[in-house]
Amino acid sequence: MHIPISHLNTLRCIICLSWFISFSAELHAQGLNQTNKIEINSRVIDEELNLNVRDIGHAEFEYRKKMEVLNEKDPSLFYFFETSDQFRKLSDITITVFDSGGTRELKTYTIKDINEVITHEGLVAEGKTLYFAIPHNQFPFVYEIRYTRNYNGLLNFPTYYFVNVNQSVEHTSYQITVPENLDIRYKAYSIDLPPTRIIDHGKITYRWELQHVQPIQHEQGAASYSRILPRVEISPMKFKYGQYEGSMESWVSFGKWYDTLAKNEGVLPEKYKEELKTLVAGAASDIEKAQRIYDYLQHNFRYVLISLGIGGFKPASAASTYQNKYGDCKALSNFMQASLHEVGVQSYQCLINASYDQVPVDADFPRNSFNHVILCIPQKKDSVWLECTSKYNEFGVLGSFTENRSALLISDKGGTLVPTPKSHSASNQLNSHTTITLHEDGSGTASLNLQAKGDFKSTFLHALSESDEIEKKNFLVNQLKLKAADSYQIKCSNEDHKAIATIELAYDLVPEISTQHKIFLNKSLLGLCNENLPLTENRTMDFYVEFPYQKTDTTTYILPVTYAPERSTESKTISTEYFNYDETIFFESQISTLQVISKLELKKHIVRAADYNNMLASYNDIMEYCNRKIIITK
Amino acid sequence: MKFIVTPLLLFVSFLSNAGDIPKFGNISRAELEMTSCEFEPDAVAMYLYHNSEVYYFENRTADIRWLYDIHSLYNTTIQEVKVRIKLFSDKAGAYSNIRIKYDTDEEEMVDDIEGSTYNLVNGKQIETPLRKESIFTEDGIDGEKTKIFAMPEIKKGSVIEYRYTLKRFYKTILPSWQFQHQIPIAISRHSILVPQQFQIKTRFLTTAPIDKKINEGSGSTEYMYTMRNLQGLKKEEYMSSFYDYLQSIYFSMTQFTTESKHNLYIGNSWEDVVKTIKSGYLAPYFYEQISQTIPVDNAYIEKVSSIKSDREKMIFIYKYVRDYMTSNLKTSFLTRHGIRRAWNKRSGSTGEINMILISLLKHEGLDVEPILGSTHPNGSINQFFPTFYQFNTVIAMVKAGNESFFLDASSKKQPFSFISPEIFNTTGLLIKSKSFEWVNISTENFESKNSVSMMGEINEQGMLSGDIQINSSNYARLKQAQQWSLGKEKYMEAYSHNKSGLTLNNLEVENSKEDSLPFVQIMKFSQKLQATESYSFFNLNFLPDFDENPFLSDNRYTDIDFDSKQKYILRGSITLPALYKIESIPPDLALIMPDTSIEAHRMIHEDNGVLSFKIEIAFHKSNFPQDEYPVLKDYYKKLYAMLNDKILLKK
Repeated sequence: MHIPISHLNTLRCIICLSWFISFSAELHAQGLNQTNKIEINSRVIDEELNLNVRDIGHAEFEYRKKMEVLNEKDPSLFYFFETSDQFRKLSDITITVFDSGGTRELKTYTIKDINEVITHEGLVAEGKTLYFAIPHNQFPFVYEIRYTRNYNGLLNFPTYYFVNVNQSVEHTSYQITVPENLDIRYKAYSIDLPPTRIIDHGKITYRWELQHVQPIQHEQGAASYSRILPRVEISPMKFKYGQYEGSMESWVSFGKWYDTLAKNEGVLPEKYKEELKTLVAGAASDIEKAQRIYDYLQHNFRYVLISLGIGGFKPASAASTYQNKYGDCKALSNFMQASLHEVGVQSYQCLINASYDQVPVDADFPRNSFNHVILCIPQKKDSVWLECTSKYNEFGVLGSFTENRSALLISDKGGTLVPTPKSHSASNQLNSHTTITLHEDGSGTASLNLQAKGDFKSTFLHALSESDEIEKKNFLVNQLKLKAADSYQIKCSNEDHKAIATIELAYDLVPEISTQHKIFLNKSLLGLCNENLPLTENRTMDFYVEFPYQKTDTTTYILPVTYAPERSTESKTISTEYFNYDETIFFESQISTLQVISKLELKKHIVRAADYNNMLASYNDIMEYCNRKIIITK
Repeated sequence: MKFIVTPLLLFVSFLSNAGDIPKFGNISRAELEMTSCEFEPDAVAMYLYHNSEVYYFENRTADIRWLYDIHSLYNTTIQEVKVRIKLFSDKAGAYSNIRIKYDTDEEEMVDDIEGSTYNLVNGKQIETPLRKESIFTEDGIDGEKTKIFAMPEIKKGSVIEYRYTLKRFYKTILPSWQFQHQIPIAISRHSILVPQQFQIKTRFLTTAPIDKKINEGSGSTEYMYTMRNLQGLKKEEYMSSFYDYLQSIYFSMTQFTTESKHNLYIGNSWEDVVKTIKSGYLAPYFYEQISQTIPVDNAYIEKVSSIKSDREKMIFIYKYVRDYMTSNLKTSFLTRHGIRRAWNKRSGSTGEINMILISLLKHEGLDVEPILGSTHPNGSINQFFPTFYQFNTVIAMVKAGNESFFLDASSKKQPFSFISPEIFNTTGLLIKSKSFEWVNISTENFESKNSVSMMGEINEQGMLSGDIQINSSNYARLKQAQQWSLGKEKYMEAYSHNKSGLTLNNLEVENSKEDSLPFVQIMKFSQKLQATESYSFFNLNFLPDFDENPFLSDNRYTDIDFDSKQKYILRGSITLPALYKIESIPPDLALIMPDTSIEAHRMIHEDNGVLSFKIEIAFHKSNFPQDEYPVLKDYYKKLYAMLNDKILLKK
C-alpha cells in the first residue's frame, strides 16, 4: 500500500529514506532484454506482498496476486504450487477465478479444494506440496491467489521477484514491517528501487512499489533466473531458526551461526579413531593423509539426503554418520572434517550455491543463498577442495557443480567468502582412439578406446560402468553420437584418475555414402562436435557452459588395398577466443591406413552475451568441418 | 488391542521352515563373496530371497460390525515380509534405501522392522544392525504413511537383510504378490494361511515356472507359491505397463462359511462384481453417483434446452464438462467424496469427471452407460479373474443415432469422440442398466497421422531453406499440440533434434482450438548442407518422431505398444541451383515387414533441377508381441538407414 503524503505528519518518528514509486520501471541490468517485441504470456494485474515480522523467529507473510494468463505457452501459470512445512506453514488459501474481463468473480476455492502431495528430493523430508489446477476453459483468463505463510523460524525473508520472464506487470508492491530492534537489510538487483521507510510505534515499515514493468525475454543457457531476474533481496539483521539465534549483518556473523550448529557434531567414535591411525600411518604429508581418508570416504560412505527439522541446516553428528556410513552433504563434509582434525589436518566446511549455472553470491550482501556444503583444506598456495558426496570425483577436484564461485568458509571466527578453484579445458578431457577395419563390401569392425577425465568422468562411469546393455548403448549412440553399430562389446573401468572404456563394434555398412566409384567416410565414429547451442537473437544474457573441455579423437581406417583417399594429407586449424579446433588427416599408402586426428577445445565457462553470435558462428564452422567426409576412391 | 491366539497362529510355525529360504540373519560366506548374478551378469544388485507369509488373527474383542461379514471373525491380516539383497555395484545404493507404504485410514500399520547389513572385511563377516533411530515415518496424504530407512554400512559387495510386519486391522485381505522386480531375484515366495471357512480363487500372471504347494492343516490350508531365478524387468521403450509383465499372483475370496455353517457367497463371477458395484457396498461411490443431479447454471440449462439433436447435445455437454472441469491428476473409478463436490471444486479425478459427464448426459435423456476400464499404465484386465480391483477409470459410452461414441472428458486437450491414448485399445466393462458386457475401447481405422509438406530451395552457398507444414491428426495431434504447449523453444528443440544444423523460425500453428481438425504447424527452415570439397549432401528425414532409433537393445522382454496405428507422410520438392548437379540419389525403396504390418516407401526423383520426393511410413497395427521384436528391430534398423540415406550433389 502506498501511504499518502497527507498521512505522514501523523506518523510518529518518521525516517524516510526515499519516497519512491517507480512508474514505467526502468530495469537497467546488463543482460535483460526489454523490448516491446518480447512475447508476453501473462500479465500481473495487481500483486501485494506483506511480511509482518513479529519477533526474531516468527513472521506472517500475506500474499495476493491477481494475474491474467494470456495463452497456453506457460503451463506453470495454470497451477497453484506451494510447499508447506513446520517452518513455513501455509494457511488461508483462496483462489478466485474471474471472468475474462477480470472483474466478475466466477468461483472461489479454498483449502478444502486444494490437493496435497509429498514431493521432495532425497530419502526423507518434512512438509507437503499443495497444488491446485486452476480451472479455465479459454484464454485469456484471470485469477487471484491469496494465502498466508506463517514462518516459525526465520533465516531469509522472501525475495521480491516483481517480474518474471515473458510477463508484464501492472502494479506490484512488497511491504515488510519489523520490530524496531530487528531492522532489515535489502538490496535491489537490476533496478534502482529504494523503498519507503517509516518508523511508527516501535515498528519499521519498508515498502517497495512498481507499476508498468516491462517483460523480460527468456534466453536459453543463461545463468539461473533466480539470480539474474530483477529483484529485491531482503535479509534479517538478526534471526532465529530452530533454537539457534544468529545475525546476518555480515558473512562473519552468519558463519558463526552455522558454526554453532555444526561445532558439537564432530565427535568421532573411539573405534574409528583407532582405524584412522592405521589409515594414515606412514603418510608423508597432510595431503597424503587427506587423500587416504577421502579415498576411504568414497569407498565406504554414500550420499543419502535426510532433511528433517533443523536437520535441513544442521549436520548429522560425525558419530552417527560413521555408524550409518551414509549422510547428506553436511553430514559427509562434517565427518570428513572431523576425521581430518583427528589426524591433525585443519579443514573447514564451506557453504556454497551449487549448480554450474549459479552466479557467485553477492559479497556485499550477506544472505543465505546456499544449498550445498563442501570442504576446504587450506594450503599456502592452492587450497585443496573436496566434494564429499561424490564417489567419482578425484581428490581435490570440485567439478562444475561448485567450481568457479564463492564459498562461505566456516570457522569458529565466523564466515569468510573464498573463491573456489576454476577448472580449465585440460581438466576435463574426453579422448578416443578408434581403429576401423573396412572391408570391400562396406562392412567393418572397429575397436574403440575411450578415456574420460574430470567432469566427463562421472557421467561416463555412471553410464558405462556396471550398467545394463541398453543404458550403455543409449549413452554411446545418443549422448556421444557414436555411429550406431550392429553389435557391441563394451567394457569400462576406473583407472589412474580417468575412466576407460574399450568397445568392440561391428558394422554392416561403414561408409556414410557410397557411389559406384567412391565412398564417403566419417572422420570419426563419434560426434566430436555435439553441442546443442541455441540460436538467440539479440542475446543480452551471458551464456553458461557447463565446463570447459578438450576432446581429442584419433580415428584410423585400415582400408582395402585398392582404396585410397582423394587427398593424402590435409590439415585444418580454427582458433577463436572460445574454441580451438585442430585436425590432421594423412594416408600411408604402403599399409593402406588413413588416420584422422582431431582436437576440439572449449576454453571458457562463460560466453559473454555480446560474443555469443560470433561464438556460435565459429562453432558452426567447426561443426561443418567436423562433419565433412573423407572421399575414398575405390 | 488384545488378540486371542487361535490354532491358526500355531499353524503358522511351519511356514517359515520352508527349507530353501535361509534363516533370517544367517548369511552365508558364498552370498558375501558373490560378485555377480549368475543369470543376469549386468545386474547391479539382486534379491537373494523375498519372502512373504500371510495369516489372520481373530480378534473377538473387536466390534462385530456385520453379523455375517468375514471381517467380524478373521479381522486382522498379518503379513510378515523378509528380504535379502546382494549389492554388486556402487550404483546399487538405491536398493538399500527402503520405503514401506501403508495407509492408516485403512487401519494399516507397519512395525517390527529390523535389519542388518553384512560385509566381508578382511575375510571376516561383519554385521551392522539397522538402528531404530534411523527408521523414519513420513506422513503422507489422507492417512498414507511410509516407513523409510537407509541400510547402514553399504558398500559394493554388501548383503542387506530386513524384515517387517504389515498389519491390516478389520480386514481379511488376500494380498497379491509380485515375484519379480527391476533387479533379478533368486527365490521369491508368497505363502498364505487360509482358514478352511474361506474359498479363494487365484490368478497367476506368470510365464516362468512356479512351484505351488498346498498343505491341508487342522482348520486351515496353507498355499505356498515359489518362483526362482527371475531376471529383472526394466522399463522398455513403448512398453505398456509393468503390471502386465511382472510375474505376479492375485487372489480373490469367493465364499465364506460362518460358524453356523451358513455359506456367505462373496463373489466368483463378474455378475457378482457388477452387483457389488451397482447395488452393493461400492454403489455409493460409483453407480449411485451417476444418477446425481449436477448443479449446473442457467446458461447451461438454456443452451442444452435449445439443442434439438442428441448428437449436438452430446457434443455440447462433452465440451462443457471437459472445459469446465480440470483433472487433479488422479485416476480412480470411485469417488470418495462424491461428484457434486468435484463439480463444485471444478476439479476431480478422471473417474469423477467422467461420472459428471455421464450424469449430465443421462439427465438429458441420452443413451449413455459407464464403462469401467484400466489404463495402459494400470495393466490389462483379466476377464477370467472377476475383481473390481482391476479397474482404475471410467469413461462414457453414448449411442446417438446409429453411432456409438466413447467419451472421456478428463483431458482438456482431448477432442470430441477421441479415445484417450491411456485407454485406447483396451477392454472395458460396459455397465448397462440390467446387464453388462465387455467392449473393446477402440475405433476402427483410427490412426495417428503426421503429414509433412516441405518446399525448399538450395542456394549457391549450400544453404537449404524453405517452408515446412506439418498436419497432425488424432494422437499425433495430441502429441504435437502438447509439444507446442511447452513453448516454441521446446517445440523446435524436439523437432530439430538429431536433424543436423536445422534451424526453424516463424513458427505458427493453426487449429489449436478446432480439435476436430488437424493441428497445423507452419515454419520456415534453413539447414546448411554438409559439404566436402565439391560435394554436398543431405538427408530427407524431416519427419517428427524419427530422431533416435528406440530399438537398440538386443533383447526384449515386453510387447511393443505404439498405442495406435500410425501414418507418416513426407512430400516435397527442393529446387537445386544451376551450380549443383546430382551425383547420386537414394533409389526408390519399399521396406515392408514380413507380415506387412509396417510399410515404408521412398520415392525421390529429379526433373529439370527440381528434386521431388515422397516418404510414407504406415503402421497397420499398433501392438507387436515380444517375440516379434527381432524382426521389428531389424526393420527399424533398415528404416532409419532409409531415412538417413543421403542425397549427394556435386558442384
